Amino acid sequence: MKPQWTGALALAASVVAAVALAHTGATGVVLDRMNGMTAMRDTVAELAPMMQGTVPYDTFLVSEGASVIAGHAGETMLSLFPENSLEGVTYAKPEIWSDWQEFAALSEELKAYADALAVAAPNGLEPAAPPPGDMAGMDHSGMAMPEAPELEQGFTVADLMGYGENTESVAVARGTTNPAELALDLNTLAADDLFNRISATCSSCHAQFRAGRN
Amino acid sequence: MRGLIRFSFVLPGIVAGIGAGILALWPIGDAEPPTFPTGDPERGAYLARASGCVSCHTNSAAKGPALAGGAPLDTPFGTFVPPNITPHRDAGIGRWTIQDFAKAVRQGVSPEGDPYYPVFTYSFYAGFTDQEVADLWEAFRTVPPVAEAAPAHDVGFPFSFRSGLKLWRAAYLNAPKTDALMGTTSPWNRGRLLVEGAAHCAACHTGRTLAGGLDDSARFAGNDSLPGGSKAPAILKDELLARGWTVANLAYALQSGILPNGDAFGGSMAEVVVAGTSFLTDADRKAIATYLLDPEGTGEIPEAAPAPVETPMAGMDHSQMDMGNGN
Repeated sequence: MKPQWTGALALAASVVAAVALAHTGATGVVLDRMNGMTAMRDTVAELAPMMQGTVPYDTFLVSEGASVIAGHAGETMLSLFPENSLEGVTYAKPEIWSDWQEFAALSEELKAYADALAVAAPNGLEPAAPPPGDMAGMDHSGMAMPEAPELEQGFTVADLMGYGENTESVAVARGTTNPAELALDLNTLAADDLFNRISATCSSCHAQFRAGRN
Repeated sequence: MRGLIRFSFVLPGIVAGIGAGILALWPIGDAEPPTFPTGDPERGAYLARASGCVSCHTNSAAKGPALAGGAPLDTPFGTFVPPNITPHRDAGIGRWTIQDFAKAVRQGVSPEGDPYYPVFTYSFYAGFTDQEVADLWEAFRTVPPVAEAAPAHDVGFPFSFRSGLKLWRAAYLNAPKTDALMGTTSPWNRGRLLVEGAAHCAACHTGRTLAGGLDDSARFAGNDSLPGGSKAPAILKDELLARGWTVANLAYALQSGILPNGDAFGGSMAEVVVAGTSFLTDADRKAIATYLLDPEGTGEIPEAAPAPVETPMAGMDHSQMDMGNGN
């Protein structure tokens, strides 16, 4: 690369970094992990419509995107959270370090699901569930009281009430750590199943360990 | 001098005592039906999830047993602990009748006739039908009993004087408007039923008056003073559209926690998704989104703005910090 191009790129990178700093006030390791989170966020934004079926599914993009997420998860993510690194503008909560085991488990779980999605992208999406037999949802009369919903498939009374034998696996699907779940052959799962697990892990982690939104 | 002392201390004391006595004797609540339909525990369990019973009365952070008592809620009025509502006869609600249960859920009145604190969102459940109460009752009866009672509330005077809540009830207790409207679709009506009733969205997304009542003049306009210092953004139609929300992506967010810009909900909204809306059917999540984006029931939802990079909906959390990427 020509020196002038190198210089221009360096200048552009500096400007971007300066803008980012001016915008967020983050520096050092906080800025590093913020950039990592942003990269994962942008990837999720790109993949989510594919998982919902609103844009065509692209195996290559899904696999590449999953690799991006995996690259920022696991040990890489944990290394960016040195103990009590709460200087300046950060959205990390102190609970990260008081419950490090949970935080680390979620980070590893994210990596496991993302690694699996990178491999399982060719599996594609799960076939759509057949439409319900009745047409309650398409009734435009508006006069009858709305009907009670069909139960979401797979949820028992015990799951819904929070005490079932199955509750742990239900919870895992929602991003709660359980090493046994990771022992499954994740590579055989449908891409949207894995993506749901990734998003649930993000959500679960943010619920416990992220502050700072309004 | 004696007259002055009498006037300054004794008289107000007597008046306050009489007032407290009147409040204590003021009966509240109506009789519930002597019989209820046969309940369906499956429907009841779904309604319990949708209504937040499980998430509020289970201390997930402490990995506590289901419905045996929730995480403490810090409010300006004191710290409230959601009680054990498992069927244990001493520590829970095992001695209750279905009438007691109905009165608690729909009217916010305990079996002893005391008013519950409005931190229990019973006002949103006032429209539950007898069938729904029976369904809930059957679902709760399936829960394993837990022998340990939840800690008591930590509320100072005057808020510790429960009978004073009767004044609050007189001022603020209104049944939600959840009835079906002519000319609107079933999804819209279902959404209204959930948003205004069971899912009690206004409890967080509407500000409160000094007395803790919902500020109806700013319904769904957001709340910066949630328990624990959390904040909830506005969920008014125009605000949602400006932030890039559509029926599809809002329904998806309620399932997955993922926002249109790829971020994930944080704080208490993440908890709502993880412990609540992710258990709902796709149809119900779409119904909620339909109602929020078309509260007048016109049948038309304008096109949303492009999703901003930073989406304030992520913000139901426990911090006063400004918007930014969370890490």
